[in-house]
Order: sequence, then structure tokens, then C-alpha cells
Amino acid sequence: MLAQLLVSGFAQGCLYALVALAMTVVYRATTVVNFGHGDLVMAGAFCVYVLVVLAGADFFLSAALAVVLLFALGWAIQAGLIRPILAGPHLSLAMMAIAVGYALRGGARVLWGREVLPFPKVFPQGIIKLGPVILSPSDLIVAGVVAATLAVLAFVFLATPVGKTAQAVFQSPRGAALVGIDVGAFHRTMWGIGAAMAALGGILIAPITLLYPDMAASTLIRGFAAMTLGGFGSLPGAVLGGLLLGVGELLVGAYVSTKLIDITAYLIIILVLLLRPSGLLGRPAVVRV
Amino acid sequence: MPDALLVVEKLEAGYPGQRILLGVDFVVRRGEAVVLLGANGSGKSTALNAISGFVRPTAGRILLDGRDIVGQPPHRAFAAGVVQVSQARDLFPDLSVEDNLRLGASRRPDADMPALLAGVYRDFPVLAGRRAQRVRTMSGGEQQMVAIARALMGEPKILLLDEPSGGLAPRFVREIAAIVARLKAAGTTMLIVEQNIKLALEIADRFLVLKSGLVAERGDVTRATSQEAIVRSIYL
Repeated sequence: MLAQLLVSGFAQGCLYALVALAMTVVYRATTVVNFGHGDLVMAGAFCVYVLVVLAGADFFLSAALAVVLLFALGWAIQAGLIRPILAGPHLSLAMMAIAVGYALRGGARVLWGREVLPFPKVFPQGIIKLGPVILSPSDLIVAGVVAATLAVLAFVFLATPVGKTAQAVFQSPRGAALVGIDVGAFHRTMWGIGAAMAALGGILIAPITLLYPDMAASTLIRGFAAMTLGGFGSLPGAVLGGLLLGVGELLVGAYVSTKLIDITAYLIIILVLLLRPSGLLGRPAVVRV
Repeated sequence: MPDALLVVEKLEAGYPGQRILLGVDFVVRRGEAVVLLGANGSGKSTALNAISGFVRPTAGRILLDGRDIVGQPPHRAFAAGVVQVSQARDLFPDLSVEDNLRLGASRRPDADMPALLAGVYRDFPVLAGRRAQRVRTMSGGEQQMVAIARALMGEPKILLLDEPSGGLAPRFVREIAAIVARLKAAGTTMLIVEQNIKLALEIADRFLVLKSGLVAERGDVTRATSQEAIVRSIYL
């Protein structure tokens, strides 16, 4: 049973890792934790639903279109709602992100109520047996997408000038502007990429959780817990945190009580913030010069 | 004026509810060092920030090499050739000296990075031995050197220095003065805000005194220039 729990937890954790990765990209580039990210995940999934189920479009074309649309949405949120208050306190930015998320959720509720909708079947059905362990094809697809996303992000942030630019903008936006970086454009692009990744997450998560306007709440808190556990700003940390959370939830559910599954993420946030605020792979908070 | 590099005309700028510059005019010629003097709040830093794009002017013109750059955001002012060393330095504290320097040239597509780095390390030998050191671990004077060196990596047409000696120990003030003198000898055009009047008169070709949002006095720096007279002009 333990092996099955570990593998299933790993698969579950891949989804959390994807959410945490997207939030980390935005945080690394802009210092803002997007507390509305979960609702962008929901918006991405609903985009695909509308295009496939209501408009009859091809699934993969719809998925690509949803990613592009969410990129535009993230870009627009930064340009229209975040940028004007960027000089204000961080709390305002967090509140704006939450407000945008709730507005998206409210819009979905107006259109679809609280109904739980089936998401188009996109993954091959059936099971894969590896000895005593059973996997579904969707587990492997999600794990593959997370690994590929991490590889792309690691390459971009570690092996291209984008990485140094992101660090510069994160550490001193004014300093970045002094060396000619268009800080506003960089922020908008990173919000766009974060939202596009949210769409990708929504497309992968919705077949498992099904589709409903409130699907974002649990997604967000688990992504945030993964980020906290792995260390804010660390891409590998986001993945590690997501995987450990996924495995941890199932182990707690199996060996302690299933009633604790839903609060595992909150317990992790509390424990990490108390015992190791920088997370497993994060660096201690910096003091700006 | 044929050799004018920077022409500021009737510049008005400030912050919400606070007008600071009320029509400032001045010119900086190629290769010269001009120092902006004035009491606290007279608008010296506002003038620099308006030229580098961090403050949006409400009226007036800023011509760099004949091209109006007034109201351009900082990255466009940088692209035009305005590079500023800010009062707070605004370095990247958790990056190494060399990363800071490389970022200084990262938005110059034609930059010859190895040559620029070699030039900067020649001019700032103390940085050559510390290229891998994180900037946050350096002293204030060393950080100021990194800030000036980073700005030079951006190959400025005009270098704006905002209080280069501010908050530094006397030893570093002398060093910064020597660096500015070397830059001047090398033909770098500079507009400098400096509170230390003695230092300012040592390094500048000309001075401007800002008072009540306008240029109250201007002149060439000569041996006869009286420090006391300038202090009187600033504060009386």
C-alpha cells in the first residue's frame, strides 16, 4: 500500500507543483504573490470547456487558444490593475490579486452557477500496472508536463539573460530601470506567463477535479503551501514542495485520518513558517541595500 | 550652441501637489562636468530624475544631442544615452560585482562586453579583485564604485551622478573625487548633484545654483570662484 500511496501522491503532487511553479515565476519576477492564481487556473479550464463543449472546437486547438487567452488576461491584469498601485504597500497588491480572483470566480458563478461540469475526456483511459502499483495515463501525462515545464523554466532562468534580468528586477526595480530594462514590460510579460501556466494547470487539473467556479480555492492553497514548503522564489523548491505535499496528504489520509487531508496544506504552511521560513530550498529573506 | 549635448529648456516638474522645478534652463556641453548646487529640496535630484525619466515633467524640453527626450520612461532615456547613478545607488545586492556590471551593458545590443569589462576593471582595480563578491557585502564606498562602474558599462553620452560622495567616509570621498576627475579627463560628459561644495568645485567645469525652482546663479569654476559666495547664494 505504501508504494501505491507514494506513487499516487507523487502524481497528485505534480499538479500542485505546476500551480506552485506558475506562482513562483510571477513572484520571482515581480515580488508579488498572486493570491488570485487559483482563479486563473479555473478561468483557463473554463476557456477550454467553452471552446470544446459549447463551440465544438478541437481540444488541442482550444487548449492552445486558452493558454494564449490567459497570457493576454495576465498581461492585462498587470497593466490595468497591478501597475497603477505598484508603488503602494505590498498588502494592496495582495488584496488586488485576491479581488481579481474573486471577480473571475463571480463571473463564472453568474454564467454557470455552482454546477459541477464534466470536463472533456482528453487523457487515454485505462490503467498502467507497475507491479503492485497502479497508475493512470493522466498521472504520467501530468508528470511529463511538470517535468517539461520545470526544464524549460530552469533553462530560461538559469541559462539565458532572462534569469539575470529577473533577479535584477526582483532585487531592485529602480536599479533595473537605471540599466535600461523596461521593468513594466517585464512585469507584464511575467504575469502573462504565469497566467498562461495557470491555463495549462487548469487543463490538467479539471479532468480530475471536474469543473466548477470554486475549484480554485483548494488549488490555490495547495500551490501556496507547495511554494512555502519548497521556499519562495525557488523553482526546484516549488516542484519539491508540490511533490512532498501530494505525498504527505495521502500518507496523512491513510495513516492518520482522511479528515486531515484537506488541512494538510494549512498545517504545512504553519509549520514551515514557524520552523524554517525560507522553506527547503529557499534563501533567507534579503534586506535591501 | 554647437557643442551642446544636453539642453534643458523651461523645465517644470514635481510630484503630486508639489511643484519643484518652475522653469529651469541650462546646457551641458560635450566633455564638460557641470555641478548642480542648491539647498535641500531645491530640486537638484528632481532635475536629474526628470532627465533620466523617473519624474515626468509637466512642461519644458530636454534635448539630448538635438533629440527631445522629455517625458520618456527611464529605459528609453537610457537607450538615448542618459545613464544615472542614483543617490541610493540601486545596485543588485545579491548579485556579484561582475553580474552588476554585465547588467549595466545588457541593454546595449552592440556592446563589446569583454572590452567594456576590461576597461572598467582597469579604471577600478579594486573591483577586479572582487568580481565574484556579492555587492551587499561591500562597504558604502566600494558600492559607490560599483554603481559608477555599472553606469559606465552602459556607455553613457551623459553621466548623471546624484550625490556621489553622499554618506561616504572621507577616504572614499577622496577616491570618488579622483574617479570623477579621471572620467572628466577621459572626456565623459557629466551632470553632477553634490552637497559637498568644496568637492563640487574641485571636479566641475561649471556650476549652477538652484533656488526656489529656478537657476539662481551660474558660472564657470575658476580659481577665483569663492566657496563662500556660492554658499551665500544657496542659503541667503
